[in-house]
Amino acid sequence: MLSYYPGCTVRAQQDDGFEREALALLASLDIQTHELEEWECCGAVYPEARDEYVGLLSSVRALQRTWDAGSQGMLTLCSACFHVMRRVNHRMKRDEEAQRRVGGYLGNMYQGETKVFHLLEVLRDLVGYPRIQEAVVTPLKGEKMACYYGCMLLRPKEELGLVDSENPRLMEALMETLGATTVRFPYQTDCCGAYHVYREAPLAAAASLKVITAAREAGATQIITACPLCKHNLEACQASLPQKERLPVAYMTAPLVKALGGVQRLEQMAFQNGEKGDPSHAFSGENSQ
Amino acid sequence: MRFPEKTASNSQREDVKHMTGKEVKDCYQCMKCSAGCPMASHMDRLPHEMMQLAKLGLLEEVYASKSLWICASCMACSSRCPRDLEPASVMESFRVTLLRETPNREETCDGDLTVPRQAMIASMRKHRR
Repeated sequence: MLSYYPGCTVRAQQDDGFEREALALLASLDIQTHELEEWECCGAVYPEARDEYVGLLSSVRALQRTWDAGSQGMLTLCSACFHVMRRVNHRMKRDEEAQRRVGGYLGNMYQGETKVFHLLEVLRDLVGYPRIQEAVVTPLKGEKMACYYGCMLLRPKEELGLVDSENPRLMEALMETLGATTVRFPYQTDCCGAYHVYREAPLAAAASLKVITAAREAGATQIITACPLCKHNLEACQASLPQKERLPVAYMTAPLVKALGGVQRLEQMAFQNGEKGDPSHAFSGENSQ
Repeated sequence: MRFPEKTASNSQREDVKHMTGKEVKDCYQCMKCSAGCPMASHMDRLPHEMMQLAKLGLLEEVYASKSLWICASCMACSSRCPRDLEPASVMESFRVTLLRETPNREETCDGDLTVPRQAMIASMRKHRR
């Protein structure tokens, strides 16, 4: 069982389907998830300055709670949550000063025991490509996917260790499993402008447009990402373009769900799986409401 | 500026080292940070120039630079630095120092409120407002 940590953005933007699709997908592939109780925001940015310990607290609380729940690890969907959780965990494993200070405040002794997973990692390592390939009902023929990673999933590689930070191939491998073709394009690992969209929108738009242009020139018919903020930026920067020049942006769950027969079918399968075995298996996107 | 009037004190240099765990004086100006920076075109001083200013101890110029606030901490420079100096962390240490030394900042909510929450929270945490 994985403890599912939704994070603020994924939960607030529930209507865009990322959460529903991801949970239905995992449940249909026999991965049990259960929403972490009393989770709170991870803090959105990793406290880069080493003498700032307050920024670690909320993440450590969630990591500790995952450990206490006795689950296999923490599941995150949002790249930023993954980035922050994984780095905080990495730090808590090694930095004794942080262990002492954070532990003193929270009254525990957390030493980075919890495992943090991103959805992509679960699909790669816990489910495996062959299992996904078996489940495909409508192969994605004719789609040319541009897989955009953004910064949060990649760097720093020593701390995240998810994929090669200069030449990531994880999403490509996943899409090829579904029968889609992928394109190589520059700026695949570049920043989309991130939080600048809040106060300096033109800056973020310039960075995102570079990604979109490169993907379109490489012949992509759509661009996929795992990050809610990247998705927003990549869409927002195209608002001024004429309709026919826009490149559709989707979460990486969208093509997966499409190839596996649609979200309703997956939820049905998950429900049947749940009836056969453990009832807690039934996917639970709305536990906390 | 050929003869700077004021350079960083030892304690200021120590602060940077303490916050980043790195020695900026080890930078040998290969400019790899600037070459790969996605925000470089918007900066008034490129990342390698910031490193050089930090190395020379010209902190007033560092603090006056717009680049500090344009850096989005995407970590491209940090992951490519051949000296493993993490320019992104060095930038963050200057931002943090500057913010800590500016008391009573007004709290404003002057951004676009329709953006994903992660952007708002990240921007607020980076700029402390």
